Amino acid sequence: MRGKRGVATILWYIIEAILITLAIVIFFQYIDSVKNNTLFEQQFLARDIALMTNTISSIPGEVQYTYASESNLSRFNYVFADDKIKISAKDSQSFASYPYYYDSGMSIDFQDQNSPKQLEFARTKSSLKINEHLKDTENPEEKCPLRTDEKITILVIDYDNDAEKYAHALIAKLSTNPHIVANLARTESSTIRERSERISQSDYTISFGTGLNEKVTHSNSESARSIGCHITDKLNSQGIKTTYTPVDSILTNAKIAGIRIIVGSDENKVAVGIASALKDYNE
Amino acid sequence: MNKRAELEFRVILFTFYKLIVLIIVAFSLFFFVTQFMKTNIDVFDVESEIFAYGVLNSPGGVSYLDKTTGRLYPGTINLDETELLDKRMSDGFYFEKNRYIAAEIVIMNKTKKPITKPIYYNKEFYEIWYPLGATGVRGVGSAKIKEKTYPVILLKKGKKTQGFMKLTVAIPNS
Repeated sequence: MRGKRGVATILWYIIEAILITLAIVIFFQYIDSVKNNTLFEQQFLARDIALMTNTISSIPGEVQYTYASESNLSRFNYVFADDKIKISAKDSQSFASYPYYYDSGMSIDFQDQNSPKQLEFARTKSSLKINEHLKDTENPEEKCPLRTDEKITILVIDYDNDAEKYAHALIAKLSTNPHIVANLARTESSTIRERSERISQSDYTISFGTGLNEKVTHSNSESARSIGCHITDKLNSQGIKTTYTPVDSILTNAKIAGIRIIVGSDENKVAVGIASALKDYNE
Repeated sequence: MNKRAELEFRVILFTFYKLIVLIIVAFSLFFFVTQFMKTNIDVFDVESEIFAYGVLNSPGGVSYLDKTTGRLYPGTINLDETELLDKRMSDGFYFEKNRYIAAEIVIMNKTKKPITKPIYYNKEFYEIWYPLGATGVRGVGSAKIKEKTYPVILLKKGKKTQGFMKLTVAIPNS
């Protein structure tokens, strides 16, 4: 009788010990899963970078700031889209995102990053930029250095019917500039080959296509950068939102430079802006 | 009560005692761990504060901007242009759909009486989020509000007077 009770007591202790062990294991597994979950870190970085963008955007002056968090930035990829920063781990589809705001009067250049070591923020009077490394040439004093007295041939291309009025307005404005020979190439009445040939005979191309925002794209050649820079600055100063992006891949291998503008506002204002920028470039 | 029954009673009593101590220890452990382990990041306070300082100090905010010189006068509100400030703020704190932060600005004289119509940033959503925030309900679907009054300088026809600006920021819980 006493032996049976002893066995029952031992069994009871064993059950208790198993339950306690089970609870401890579950508890530590929970802590471990939280520790290894990078989504929390992504959420933290998304908020931190979005708030940094808000702060830099609201500063009443020029500033440059290098963001290097205690978290290892290079573990993640960073995408700036739809007014949100989206952070995802490498080879992962899931991401954490957070919205940011900016001054719509400024030119915005947020470059998506894969595994950056740091993020540099720069705000000038008219632009807000985020990149892993911002070039020294972004200094506004050095931004538009080249000017020439040479006569230049500009080819204006309209990519659809809605863009035609922009092309015509620009041609009309450029015709008064003695340094510029402006020609029009319509995509409706010319093949890609014909246009490519005309592009190669011109010094610069300015292409129009309708869209939500104005976008200026130019190649990396010095003169192209300078013309693109003059046009971007002029459009910005007129309150037309412009965005600088890397060169159009079609024009990368061309010997000449190209400027592509996706238009969405008053065609005369755009024409006046570009014509005046090219006048600045010449004088 | 005989000796055996008394023993059984003590065993049961001790088992209950052990159970209670175990529950207290488990809950204490859970409490302390969760205190140091944050899985939710709440940035409402800092976010609303950054927005407020932006409203007062940035060219896209309410402060007077001299268009000729481009100079901004932080904390100075030009009463002659308050009707333009709704548009200026929605451009200055631009989201594609102005969907994330909303605010109401009330400009008051030095006796804290409103002297202009309220200025709204993202008015459409402010009218939804403010009542939600006022209920104090937590969690997704609700909102948080923060109200703060700042001393400002009021400029009317070149004359400067003392005044206040009450800023109410509403941000949805996400």
